[in-house]
Amino acid sequence: MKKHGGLTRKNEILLHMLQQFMAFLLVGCIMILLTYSVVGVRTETDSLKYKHTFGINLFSEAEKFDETDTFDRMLMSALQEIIRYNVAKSQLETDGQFDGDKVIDVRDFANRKNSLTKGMEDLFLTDDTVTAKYYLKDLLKWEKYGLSYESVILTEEEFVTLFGTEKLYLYDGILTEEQKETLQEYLSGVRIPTESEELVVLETTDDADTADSSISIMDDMELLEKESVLDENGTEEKQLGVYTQNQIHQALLDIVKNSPEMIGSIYAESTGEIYVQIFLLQDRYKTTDNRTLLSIAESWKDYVSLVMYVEQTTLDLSYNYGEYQDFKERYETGATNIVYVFNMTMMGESVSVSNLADFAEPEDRKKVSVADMDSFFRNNYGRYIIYRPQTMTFESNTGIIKESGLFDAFSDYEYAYPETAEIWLAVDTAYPAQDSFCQAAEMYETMRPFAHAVCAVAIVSGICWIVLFLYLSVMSGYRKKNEEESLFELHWFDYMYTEIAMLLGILACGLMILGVEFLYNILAEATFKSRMEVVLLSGIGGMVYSVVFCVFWYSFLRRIKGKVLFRGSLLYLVWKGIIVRPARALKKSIQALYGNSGMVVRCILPAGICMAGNFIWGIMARDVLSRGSSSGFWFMIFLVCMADQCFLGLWCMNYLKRKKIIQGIGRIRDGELDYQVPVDNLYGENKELAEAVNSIGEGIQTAVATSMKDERLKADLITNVSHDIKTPLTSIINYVDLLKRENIEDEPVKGYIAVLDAKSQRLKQLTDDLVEASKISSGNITLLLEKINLTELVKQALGEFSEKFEEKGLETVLTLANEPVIIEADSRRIWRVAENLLNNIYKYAMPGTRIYLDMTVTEDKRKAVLSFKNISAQRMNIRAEELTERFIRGDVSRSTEGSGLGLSIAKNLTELQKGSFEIYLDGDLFKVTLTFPLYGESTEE
Amino acid sequence: MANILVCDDDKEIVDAIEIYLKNEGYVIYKAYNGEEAIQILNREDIHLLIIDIMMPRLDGIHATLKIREYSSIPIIILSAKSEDTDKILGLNVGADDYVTKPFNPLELVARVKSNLRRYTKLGSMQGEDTLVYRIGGLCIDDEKKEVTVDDELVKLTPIEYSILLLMAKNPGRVFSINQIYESIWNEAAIGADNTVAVHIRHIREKIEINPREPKYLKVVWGVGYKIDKP
Repeated sequence: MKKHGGLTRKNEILLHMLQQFMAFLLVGCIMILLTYSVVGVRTETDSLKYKHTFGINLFSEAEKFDETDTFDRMLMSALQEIIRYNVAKSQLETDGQFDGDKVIDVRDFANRKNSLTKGMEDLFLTDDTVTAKYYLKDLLKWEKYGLSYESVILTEEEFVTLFGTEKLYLYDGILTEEQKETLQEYLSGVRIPTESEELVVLETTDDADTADSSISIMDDMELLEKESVLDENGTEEKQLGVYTQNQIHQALLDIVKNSPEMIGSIYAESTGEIYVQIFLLQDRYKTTDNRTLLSIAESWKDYVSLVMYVEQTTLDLSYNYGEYQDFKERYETGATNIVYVFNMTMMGESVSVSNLADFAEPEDRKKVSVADMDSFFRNNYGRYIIYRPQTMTFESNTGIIKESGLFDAFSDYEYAYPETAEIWLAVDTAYPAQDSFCQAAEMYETMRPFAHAVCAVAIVSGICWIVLFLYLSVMSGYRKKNEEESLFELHWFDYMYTEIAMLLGILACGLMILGVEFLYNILAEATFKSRMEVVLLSGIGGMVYSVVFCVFWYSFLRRIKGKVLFRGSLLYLVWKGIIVRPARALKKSIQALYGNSGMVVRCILPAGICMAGNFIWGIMARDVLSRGSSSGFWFMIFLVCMADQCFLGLWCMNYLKRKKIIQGIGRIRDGELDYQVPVDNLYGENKELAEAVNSIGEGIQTAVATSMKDERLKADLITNVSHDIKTPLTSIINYVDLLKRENIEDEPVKGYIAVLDAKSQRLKQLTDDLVEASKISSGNITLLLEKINLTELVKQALGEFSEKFEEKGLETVLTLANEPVIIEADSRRIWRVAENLLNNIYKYAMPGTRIYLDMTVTEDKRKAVLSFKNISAQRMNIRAEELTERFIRGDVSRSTEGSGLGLSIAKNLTELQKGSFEIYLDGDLFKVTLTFPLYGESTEE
Repeated sequence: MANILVCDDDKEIVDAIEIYLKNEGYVIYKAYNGEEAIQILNREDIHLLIIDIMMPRLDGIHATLKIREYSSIPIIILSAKSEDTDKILGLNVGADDYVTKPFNPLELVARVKSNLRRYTKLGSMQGEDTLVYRIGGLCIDDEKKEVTVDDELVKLTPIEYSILLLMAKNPGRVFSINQIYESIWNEAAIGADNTVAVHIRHIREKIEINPREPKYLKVVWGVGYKIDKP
């Protein structure tokens, strides 16, 4: 976290602002260059609105705009437009004015491009002598309001009557694919009339390579001739069928009548009657001599041609009319910096058009000689073109230096500009008119000196932006806390779920794309708006893009650095919830499988085999069943059941064996340590398990035996040692007794002897208790259980101690249960318990106090409770449980008599007789509670 | 007086016993192992034998067995072995009494006397008298209202006598405190009274050599009291 320097909040904000400013500069500069290098020329017609745009190369060497390529391109474009303008003019005007009453010959107009070859028209347009004349205004209106057609259904006779067609069906020649298909379709669907002569339809393919093929129809004789010829050629022939003449007649009629679009379809009735559906053009306007097309047309073909001419003429005229209006505005005198004079011979007349102010009238221009005109154009304007194809004259000081380019521009309109044309064209480089040339020149000449500087600024700011971008990318997220420390931190934005942030990013991108479109529109309009406005707007736009991009980019980087890109995403939540946890579980279960390969082999594999077997059998059984053999099916089912039974049997046997082992374990647990699980019928893991259980049993048995032996050895040792002690002790006691019998007058000596007497007696007690205690704790005693009346015992015991207690002034308070309390115990041992407890009381009770003995039976009549309470003469500074440990006495100094084993023995004996022994100490109150199960209860438990 | 053979491998113990018994007027022979004891027995006219169990060469148990082959003199085993099994073993091989070390010299003397009396006098049965109850060395003469233990007269209070008589009349039967009370006082036993138990203890103290290990009036703890069948 510390390796990066980090930024303070202030510095970071400053750097971000600087970066965004750089973005503003960059986009602004680029926009300056762009807006100043595009010039648009708007064209408007009735139906169209489009634009030519010309790029200006601001880095060109040329100082003046008219020296640049752009100028040439614009000039060329303008030239073409002027040519079209004049063509339209010639079509629409009479004496320089638009003339709606101008008569248009539709055939001539439609064929105007062929007008130059008038002399040869007979060759191509043999049948096209028919024509119609309309007023210009009618044709324009007709197009404007639309040509409409009427569907009419005629019988073949009516059709022939109307159009006088008699040779329609005599058709022979190459058919298009489409026609062929139509023919075949038609032929295949018609029933053959029996009475007619038969003809053969042949499809002839010339070559395998070319797909050209022809259909020919011939009678039998022709066919025979043909075959003899065909044998020598490589052509291939296919007989499509044999049909009656009538059929073929109809088929061909169909094809021919189908070829003009005006024929909808032809129906053939079963009677042989034929109906034709045709479309007739509605005559919205009549011809100049007030006739309809139908009346003019002598045949169907004429009619079709006339309709075509009308369609063509109206379309072309209305288009040209639209252009004419636009161009008129732009290329008339004063609206443009282009001036021109076109002289040409049209329809045998010498025509001159111009927008020159000086020679406005054609008559004026005619007076001027060609040479004068040349010099006029050369001297008065900056750039000029002089072109006379007739004399191969081409002169220009523009970039257009090839005559061919110019020729191409004119050649499309050869009917208007024959080779005899004389053309002068110039651009006034003083730009008196506010047209696109003027605009482009102004832009170019204003901006060119600064273009490099602006470009440099753009590059520098771009580099700055990139450098800042990289720097901030690295530093992003590291916040400088103080001089030496910086921490990584996320912004609030980074805590948003990644997907949501991404969605916002995408949204922002969408907005940016809209923004780009907006900018583009601004750019396209650039020529007509304040350029600085555009530049500022786009600069701000660019900055906004940069900001949006940076916000998401830096957040993205911080997410990566902070390792929250994935963890902070919704996908991660889903991933964790749906993939990771189940995957972990799966992994665990797979591990469990690997760890328990025995289970795989013993359970899963057999189960799998069983299932697979059932499945296969099921499929087979289904097959058998589908073959209808139900007995086979039931046999299959029987087999499957048998197989499954086998597996079941195996598992059951396995289970039973396992059960035996578990029972064996239970027996061992219950103390039958020498029990051996029989291993004869076991195999595999069960056998291992049984053997392990057996060996555990043996192990426990050995351990128990060892510990019992140890315990017995210990008891024996203590017994033996006590014997060895007793022998010398006997002497000591006896001789002390003898000493006492001597009449010793010396008081100190008598005192010594008394001490010896007491201590030797105590030693005797100690050895006895020690043996007893060790025997009890090693369990080395046998109990003679019999029915004992606890009440009796207490009375007997108190009887034994009555004088001792009296001697110490102890008063016993005995509270007994009303009914006899019978328990099962060893008579002598339970006496020993009572004796020890009473002895304890006798030794340690405060003289002159009361002793409380309470005997009760618990409410559930299951247990007898006997408690001894007395007040201790000495302060007891030990815990209750310590009192029953061996050699512990209430007085730690052990100065008084007693072995310290009394309570321990009492406790152990009580517990041996299934009773419980509890000591309760509260200050000087010493309380022992014995609890025995009542007779009859202990055996039940 | 009687000749008593004391046999123990511990010389001091033998000497101490000698002192006590000599004070009572007995003649003492001393042996320090089983073989010696048997030799002395064969040589001398011995009336009672006190013998230790754990001794070199021939232990007390085996010596007792051998002696019992030809002699019926009272044998008192004096041993540090205080287990029940040891006592049972000793009594079963033919010993008449079993005293554990360390012993009370007076008790030992009393037992010696008791055994000698029985050996010398009680062997000849006196005439049957229905009003006389004999249980071992204990004799209750209901006619004279006298109680003797090994011919020694014991002084009992009337109640003590009644209790002892009740039990002697029904040897082997265990009397609970309440039963005794009801028989003697002729009234229903009530509450927590340990009078009977105190009386019994007193009786035991009077007729038994060691009241803690009674020979005649035995305590069946938690059940009652009884006098064994002779």
